[in-house]
Amino acid sequence: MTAPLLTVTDLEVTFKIRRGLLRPTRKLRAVNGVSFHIEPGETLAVVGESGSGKSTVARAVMRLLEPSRGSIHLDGDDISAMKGEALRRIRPKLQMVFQDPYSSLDPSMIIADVVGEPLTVHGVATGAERDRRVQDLLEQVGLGRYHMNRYPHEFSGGQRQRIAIARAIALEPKLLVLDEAVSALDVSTQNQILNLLEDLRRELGIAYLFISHDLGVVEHIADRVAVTYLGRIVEEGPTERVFAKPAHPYTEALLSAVPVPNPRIQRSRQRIVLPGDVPSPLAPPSGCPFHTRCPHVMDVCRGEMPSHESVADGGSVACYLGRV
Amino acid sequence: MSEPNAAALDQLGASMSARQRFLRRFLRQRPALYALGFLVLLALGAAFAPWVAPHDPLAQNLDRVLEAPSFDHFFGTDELGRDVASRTLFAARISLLAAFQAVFIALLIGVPPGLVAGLFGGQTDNLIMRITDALMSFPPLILAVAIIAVLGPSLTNAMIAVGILLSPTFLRLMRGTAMAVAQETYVEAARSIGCSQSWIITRHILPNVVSPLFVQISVFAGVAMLAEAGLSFLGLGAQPPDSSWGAMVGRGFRYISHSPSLIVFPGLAIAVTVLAFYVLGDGLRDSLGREVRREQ
Repeated sequence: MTAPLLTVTDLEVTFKIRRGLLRPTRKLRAVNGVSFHIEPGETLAVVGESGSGKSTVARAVMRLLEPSRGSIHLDGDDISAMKGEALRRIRPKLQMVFQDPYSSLDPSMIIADVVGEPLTVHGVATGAERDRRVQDLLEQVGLGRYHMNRYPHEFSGGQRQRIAIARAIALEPKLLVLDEAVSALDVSTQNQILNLLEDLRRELGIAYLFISHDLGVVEHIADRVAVTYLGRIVEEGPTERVFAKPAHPYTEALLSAVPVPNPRIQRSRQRIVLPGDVPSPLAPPSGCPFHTRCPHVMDVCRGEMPSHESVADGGSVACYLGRV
Repeated sequence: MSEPNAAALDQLGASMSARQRFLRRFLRQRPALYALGFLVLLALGAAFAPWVAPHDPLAQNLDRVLEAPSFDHFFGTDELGRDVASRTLFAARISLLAAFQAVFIALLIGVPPGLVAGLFGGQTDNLIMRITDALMSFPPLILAVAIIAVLGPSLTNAMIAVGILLSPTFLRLMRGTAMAVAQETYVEAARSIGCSQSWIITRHILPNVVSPLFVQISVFAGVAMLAEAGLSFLGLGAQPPDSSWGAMVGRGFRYISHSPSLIVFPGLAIAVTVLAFYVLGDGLRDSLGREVRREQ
């Protein structure tokens, strides 16, 4: 097996919350001890509810945030402590597509400049050469030459996301971080973008870190899935195994909430409704973060966070069920 | 996204630059268009005053003092028999120039620290904003009078005072806009592709903070003109033989019972010009408006 493209080990990201002038600042641990890896050309989906820390993982991997602990290795280089020029130099290897295509494109720039900016900034191409490359990129994502001199506000959400993707693949990255990249789009547009991503992966061999809360989309696109809850990964494994045989009670509950297109099956399905709300990440529960809502909670769950142990048919789970 | 009429789309999309789009929208704003037309005419009239004015603005005729408007003297004559129409035209030079002086000074001392405060934040921001607060806590006219008392009464000094007084608004506007723009996802997106800090500021932040500035400039040109008129009325602005509209009103005020037309015409000139600046500001705001916001 080749070396993984991205290896994240024991990642922790904390935010300082300032509540008032004289009150002490508090620490919010958005991501806590997260480890995962992505092989070249592989799609790893990180799923979870809002507030589970999945977007923070994406921003930490992109080094838009400073991790407070842990390491991030990209292609053999530790990027977790990189700064300034060194960081700028590795940027071409990893690019990102943001959730909201309405705010992620500079409204004062024409499309040629938006898509061409990475080429200009990294000195890859200028002038007519750059325009030619931009044109190729636009065609690659299903847009045309005639879009080059227009402004972002003239495009629909789906088109804007295509523009954002064209810009992200301009430098031929090895890893593309997609932070809820299709969540803001309607279903038919979502499908087009997912197919586009599929095509690009086949043509360019890009690996995706796909952040999403939509399990239907994830099942469609991901090779492997990592399920997050309160800043921790509770289960990880090949998509097929996780969807067919979820090993963590939280994953099970999540999957039971996904509607099935067949109404007869949908009616007969047992939905697992979790009691209560997600605890505040400012005061996370001791032990397993899920123990306050888990239908199978045991005494041992309140003590220590269970370690990840491998599951039959691939992946791993952090749960005491079946262990004690 | 169909290809067939690509050529037509090419024409449409490629031929419309930002400037053209702005122009097209601006041309639809009737009141703003009239205001701009008026201001351009006024500026031309002021610039070519020696050729346009019917009389020498300084030529006295003591046989014909304080006359009502007539065919000979459209706006009548003043206490020294000078032609008020010509004087109003010549005073436009001083009034317009003074307004732009004040706005220029306000921009000069307001915009750079505002951007710095907005982009750097933290202690820098704190320091700059406290100084601004202190400046804003002074009653404006009193401060202007105090500045003039120190520098001596002259139009330029008066306008420096007005400029200093207007600068906090520019500063706050720039700080707020810069802060908001720096939070935008497209700035984070620029960082994610590896843009340097200076590239982000010049390519992403500056182009997106200038449009509200234009609106404020237009409105403040009106405010500055009013302030100039007030100060000149009090004798703290334009000094004889120069005359601004405010100074004309100030002098004519003494003969108000005998010859009310003396203050009517320069007063009207102030009112209409200030209004024109405001209307122009409104029109600019509506046609420069952030295009994304409108879309959503």
